[in-house]
Amino acid sequence: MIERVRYPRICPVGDQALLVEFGASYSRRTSRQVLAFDNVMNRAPRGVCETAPTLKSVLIHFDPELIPARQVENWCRDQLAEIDWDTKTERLREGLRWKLPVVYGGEHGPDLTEIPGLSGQTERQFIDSHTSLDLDVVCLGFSPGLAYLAELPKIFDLPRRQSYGRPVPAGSILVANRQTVLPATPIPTGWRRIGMTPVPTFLPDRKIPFLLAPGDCVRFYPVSAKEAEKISPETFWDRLEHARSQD
Amino acid sequence: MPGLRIEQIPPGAALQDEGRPGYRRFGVTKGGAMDPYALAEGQALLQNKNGSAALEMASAGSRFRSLGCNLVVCTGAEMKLTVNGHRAPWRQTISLANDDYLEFGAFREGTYGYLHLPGGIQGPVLLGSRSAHAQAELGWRPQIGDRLDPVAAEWSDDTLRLPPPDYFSQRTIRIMAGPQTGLFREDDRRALEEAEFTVTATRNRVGVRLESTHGPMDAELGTSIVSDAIVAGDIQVAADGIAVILLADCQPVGGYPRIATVISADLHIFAQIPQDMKFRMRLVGLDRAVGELSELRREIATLPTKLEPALRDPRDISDLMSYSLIDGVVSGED
Repeated sequence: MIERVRYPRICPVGDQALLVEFGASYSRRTSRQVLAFDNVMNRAPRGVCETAPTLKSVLIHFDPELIPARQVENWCRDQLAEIDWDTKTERLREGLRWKLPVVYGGEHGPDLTEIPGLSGQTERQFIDSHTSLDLDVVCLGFSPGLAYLAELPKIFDLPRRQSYGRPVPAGSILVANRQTVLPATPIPTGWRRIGMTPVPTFLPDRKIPFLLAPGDCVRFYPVSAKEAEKISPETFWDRLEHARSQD
Repeated sequence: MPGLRIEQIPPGAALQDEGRPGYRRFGVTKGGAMDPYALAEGQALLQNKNGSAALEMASAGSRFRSLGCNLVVCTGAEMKLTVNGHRAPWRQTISLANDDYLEFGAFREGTYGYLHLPGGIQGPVLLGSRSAHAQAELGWRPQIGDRLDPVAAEWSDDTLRLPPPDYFSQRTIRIMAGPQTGLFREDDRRALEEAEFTVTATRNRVGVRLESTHGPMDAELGTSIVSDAIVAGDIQVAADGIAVILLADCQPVGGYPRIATVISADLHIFAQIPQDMKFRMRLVGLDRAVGELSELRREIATLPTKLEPALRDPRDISDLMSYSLIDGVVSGED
């Protein structure tokens, strides 16, 4: 028996976190509400330690000795009541807009050759679609810095492989389920690997070690392997530090 | 330079401190020592700062050679500890002379033991922590031939000890309901408190698979759940209906439903329950869970007041005739 739930819903997860859910599953609308609310949490009261968006919710981690759960919950409810979550969410998003180079196909994207059989698109059409949209960084998870980017057209509704192959390298461009995943470390995966970005997205020794953050936007553009060699990752990371220093 | 040379080390032994909070939104969970109380005991015994790292061991079979003079202390799950083959005390500072060797044998209780050095053990700091996180490939897992070096250059040779804590015998773990508890069948929810659970051999820092007298739970709803945030302590029911308690190194998001969550104050107690041991779970409310967390933090904060000078047991002293019986005495003004 599945109970009907009204969203947004707030519920404790253990004694040091609340989960604010905006829907039962991922949708573009839900995700935009999640990102907007996550942004509002920048103004959270003392005692709220960190927040993390997922595909459909925001986890709020707090110190219950500094602020009781009820107080965090009331603060969240006040915020939720003030905002028209259907129309105003766009304005509340504050992320960086990235243009990231990708070498598609070949040794950098060995699964691209399977695409015509899976999607009915030519490789060219598929790459054109993949590079024609601004994708939301909806959340990071699974492994450090791994970004979930959404939402892609129906032709990207590709099945995942049943089993995991050899780990794919950091920077792989993976597709399945109308999403693109960009891992920042080597990971095992059942997603299709269609390309590779020469820009690292996780540099542990940097002051800000992760290039992408939830709420950012990414548009990919195709480059040849030769062009990729000439790209300096520094320009991306310098931009990140410059932008965050303005915050 | 003081330090320890690693002559033997079991798989999984790694540096741990309080972990790396603040990176969850980037896909990194806090991690850190499986038993923060034991970590704090070592820090108190050596007057180390918060954030200092210790070597966490979940298996027997470590052997270290002292390079120069060292001071060490071991906390957490007690193992058979010897220095040059002679029994050595747990939860008590031990002075090592050059070339002494320190060996860790079988566990007498618990699951995670800790070796501490003055100021903590040196290691690379990644994202603000020295904690190793195997799945995320963060941090340092020392190998045979590596050195463990103390952060502090000097230390007091006072022999201090702490009384053993009582949580190693605790076999009731307190849990709280969570966002998905209501999705489970009533008999599965009841089983949380009524069934007896057993810690299986399938365990690591990510989680512990359980067996129960209730049998597998209804996993049908598992297929309808979308990935959502998970926290350490979440009791996840996978597709096979088996409950897994997620621990420090769990991923920040997971796709299986969670029937309940272990309260923060009992996480280290659960982590220390040995394999094949039975335990029960009891549901408590949020206020109780927070009260227990405050109590645990207070106990940790007051550890330095519980330090006591250790007077050596004459039976442990092989060269009693040459041993100065005055040195260990502490004046009333100290």
